[in-house]
Order: sequence, then C-alpha cells, then structure tokens
Amino acid sequence: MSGEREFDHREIDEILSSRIRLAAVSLLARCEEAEFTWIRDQTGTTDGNLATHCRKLEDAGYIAVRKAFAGRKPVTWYSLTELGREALVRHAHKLAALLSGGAEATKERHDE
Amino acid sequence: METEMNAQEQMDLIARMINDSRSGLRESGIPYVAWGAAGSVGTAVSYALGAAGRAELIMPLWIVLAVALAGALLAHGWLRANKRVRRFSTRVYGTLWLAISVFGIGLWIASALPQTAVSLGLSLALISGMIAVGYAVSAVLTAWRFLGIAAVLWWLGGIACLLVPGRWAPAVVGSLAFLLEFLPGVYMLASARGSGRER
Repeated sequence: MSGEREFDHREIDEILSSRIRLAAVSLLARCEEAEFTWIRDQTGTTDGNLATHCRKLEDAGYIAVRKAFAGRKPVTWYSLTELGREALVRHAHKLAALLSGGAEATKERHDE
Repeated sequence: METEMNAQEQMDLIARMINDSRSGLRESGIPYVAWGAAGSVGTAVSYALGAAGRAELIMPLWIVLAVALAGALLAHGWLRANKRVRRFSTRVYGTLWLAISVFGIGLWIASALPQTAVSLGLSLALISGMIAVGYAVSAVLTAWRFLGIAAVLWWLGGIACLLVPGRWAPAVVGSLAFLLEFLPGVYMLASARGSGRER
C-alpha cells in the first residue's frame, strides 16, 4: 500500500448511516418541502419509526419542520436545511470515494 | 431493527430517492395533452367550419375552447397544489407555461381585432417561438432530450408560419400542437404511470 489513505470510519456521518434517515434526506434534497405522510409512503416505514428518525435529523439541524393545518387536520411539513444538504453531499462524496477506492484495490489485486 | 447498508447500497438508495421525486414533473403531461388536444381539434374544426361557409362560428369555438382549457388547467393546478410535496421545479414549470399562455392568448386576441397590425401568420409564428422557449426550458428541467427536439421543431414551425400563405399558418400550428404537445403529453403520462408501476 503506497501513499493510499486508509478508510476512517469516523468520517462517515452517523446521522446518515440509517437507511430511513438517508432516504428521507435524499427525498427532501429535490423538494422545497414535503409532508410527513409523503416521506412515510416513499420510505415505506411506519409513523412512529419515521417520527423518531425525523426527530434525530431535526436535532442534528439537517431538516426543518413546519406545522400547518389542512382544514382541521394538522399537517407536518419537512424541508432540508443548508446543513442537511451539505451533509448529504459530503456523505455521497465519501461513499463515492470509498467505492472508487474499493474498485481500485480490487483492480490492483487482480493485476497482481 | 435496521440492517446495515454497505456503501453501494447507500449510493443506490440516494439515487433512487432522488429519481423518485423527479416524477412530479412527469405528471404535468396533463396540461400538454389538454393544450395539444384543444389546439389540434380547434384548428381542424375551424377549417371544417370555414369550408362549410360557417366562418362566423370560428371565434366562438375558440372562446369556448379557451374557457374550457383554462377551467381544466386551473382544476388540474388546484389538484396538484393539494399534493403532499412542493418542488421548486414544479413552480418554475407552472409559471413558465402560464406566462407563455398569457402571451399567446393576448397575441391571438390582438391578431383577431379588426384594425390590427399583427397578421395571423406573424402571431402564430411568435406563439410558436414562445412555445419553443417553454419546451427548451422544460427540457433542461426534466433532462429529457425529447423535449429539446420538440423545442427545435416548434422554432422551425414558427419560421414555417412566416413562409406559408397566411391561411395555412393555423394548419402548421395545429399539426405541431398534435405532434409536439398532445403526443409528448401522452408520453409523459405513460412514463409517469410506468414509473409508478415499477415501484
């Protein structure tokens, strides 16, 4: 192994390591805002599970919440914050680097 | 209990979620179908009325079509507004086509006035040019090359409106409305339904 940098697991964003949180943040990346039930349906999870994950994302400052009413029905809207957008981009870059590093290592082993 | 994902699975998940949320724009196939149907059917009926010596019915026909179309598009917009997700690209899309519609209707009314300086051929050429702009922007928003090709064809159609005799300019636009509005709209709807089934 020449000057190749070792993978450091601490560089991976813990908040985005969860499937549901990563899916929710990715969905919100292309929206201005989305309703809780829409995210739930897209991610195929339950109300309680998604609420827990959304709270974690909110605490991390990755998503913002807005409560509104549709008639008499309370509706919760989520949007991605700038911090969340940066975290998703950083996370995707890390994954891409990890995958390309892995592919190179496989190629090197194959060449040997 | 969540299972852990490897890097490739995470990348796939990000790509899938982002692509899924793109389908919102594809749903706007309905306005394309409505515009295309109104434009092509209206043109065909207008020529038929002209041939039957009932030219006085052409203007009322277009007024009825315009009102019906506006009603249908407003209802569609209201239904879309009720959706559970809001996208910037959808707003850009709506505003762009609303602006083009207002411009087109204004120009069409101006060309129909008795003492107008705008001929029917020129007004249809300008309307075609504006529709081409709409398609070009839509092509960028949706990343569909098909819409870019439609934009080029609308521009060519606009030029054709200036070259053909005035009475044939509506035939050019009517044909383009069918080929480049109605058919792409049907294609968009079919794509949206297809991607819905895949999920």
